Amino acid sequence: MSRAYRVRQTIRVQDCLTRDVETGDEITTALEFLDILPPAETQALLEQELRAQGYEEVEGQLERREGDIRIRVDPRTAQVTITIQGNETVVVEGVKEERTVLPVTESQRRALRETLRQELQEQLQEQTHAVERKVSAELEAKLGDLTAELDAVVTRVTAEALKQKAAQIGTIREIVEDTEMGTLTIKLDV
Amino acid sequence: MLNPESESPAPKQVSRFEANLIRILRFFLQQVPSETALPLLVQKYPEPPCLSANAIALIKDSLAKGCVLELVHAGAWRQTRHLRGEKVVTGRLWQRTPVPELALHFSSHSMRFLIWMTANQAAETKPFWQAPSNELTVGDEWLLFLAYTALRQVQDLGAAMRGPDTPFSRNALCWLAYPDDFSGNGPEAVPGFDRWMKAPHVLWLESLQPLLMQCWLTIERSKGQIGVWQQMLHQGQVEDRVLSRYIEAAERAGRPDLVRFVLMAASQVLASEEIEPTFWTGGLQGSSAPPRLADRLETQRSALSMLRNLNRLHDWERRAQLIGFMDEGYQAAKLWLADWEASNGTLIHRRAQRIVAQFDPLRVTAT
Repeated sequence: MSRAYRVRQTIRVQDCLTRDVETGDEITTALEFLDILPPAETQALLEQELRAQGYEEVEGQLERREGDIRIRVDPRTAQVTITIQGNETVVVEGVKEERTVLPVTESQRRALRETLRQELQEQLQEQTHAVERKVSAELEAKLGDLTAELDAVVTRVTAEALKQKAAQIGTIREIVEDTEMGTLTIKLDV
Repeated sequence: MLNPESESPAPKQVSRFEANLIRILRFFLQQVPSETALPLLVQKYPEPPCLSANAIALIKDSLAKGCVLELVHAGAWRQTRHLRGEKVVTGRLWQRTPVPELALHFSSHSMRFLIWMTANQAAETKPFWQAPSNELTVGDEWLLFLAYTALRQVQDLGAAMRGPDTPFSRNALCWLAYPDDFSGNGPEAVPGFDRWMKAPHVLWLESLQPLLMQCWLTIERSKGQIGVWQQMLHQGQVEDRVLSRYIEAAERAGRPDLVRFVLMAASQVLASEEIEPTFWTGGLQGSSAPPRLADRLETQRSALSMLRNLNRLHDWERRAQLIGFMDEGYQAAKLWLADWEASNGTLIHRRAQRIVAQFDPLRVTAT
């Protein structure tokens, strides 16, 4: 009596993919000022206020950095650009096995390797997006503080512009500034 | 007693091809149901060397009556106010304009288009029928628009008609009424509207204001169902380009009355004080969102293309307020102010600004 046997073998392939992910995100807005003083004078006040906040001139614009975040203000257009840069090395590795009958051919190995490579590419793409999301989330988390800071800058520039305008109209008798209430009262003799 | 049937003229005899062509034409003109015409558009028929006199007479008759009737249905029957030079005229289209100036002319391109549509399987024949844009009359363009309107919802045929090399993708009316259909062609493909600001084309724009309003209302109301961010981005960019170019052309031509449909659509969309940005972007799926904040904001802003364009109309209103009785453009300014008032312009502009501002997380304004 004879019996037929089918001999199976496991093919195993492994691969590793690495990618240096350099990502960035940015958000742009424009500060809006009331038309109290001519634009050139408002621009000078804005510049002065930003320098007091630690901004420095870079390529004709005022810039400040906080870690990976860069805040850049163009005083001429009052355009604010907040940029974040991040980089991370993403590594994905995997192993794929397949049981097959003998003899194992090279084309079978190649096909298995190709399947694994495709799966790893997808994982790599997913992880790249995850890095991008993480960097964007950092920017989003910072937006609240930056909005409050820019709001304060606009308020101070507006207050200073009002004082200068009042001085042009008459003699300032009294200035009462209530920072808690956010009010400014200027009494002047015309 | 006379038999009434014996008095009526005998029906004109046409060939099978000619009968098909006339049926397709009447379908474009909304005179026969789609069930009778669509099967004819998915078959090939050998093209005859020429059409018979009977067929020509029937085609001319259908074009003359059907195209005018469609224009009347679209809005020409309404009593509206429009500019004629420095004056404002009121009435239906044929009361505002001398009838001889309204005569529709069709070039041979209309006939060639109908023959091509009958002879070919339009959805599968490449290249699609072509005609030089500068040779098309307003009648030809109106017929192409009606054909597109009739066929745009037909799955394969509609997609073929939206391709970048078709006469519909160069037809300004098709873009103005259905910009979202052409979003795949990109914003750079949007045609200019300057030609449509001159007679006789401009008379069509006057008449189509109610139709255009309905089209844009449909677009705005359906945006909340768009789930794919990329689709929203492309659609918004195309809509923004169409509206921008159209508003700029109307401004150059001194015809603010032709932008009335934007105001009317916006006043309906923004009728409620409680309206929120989710009306436009609520359908966007988180799973397909771009990872970058900048890309997400750009997509969300592009969804508000019509609202953002209201800023230009608000500028018109402010300028119109400054035009005095003795100034040039006084009548146009008064008409624009009346349109602005009738649509609650100031209120809807304020609501639009509030909604647009919600997609500017850093917005800082001195108050």
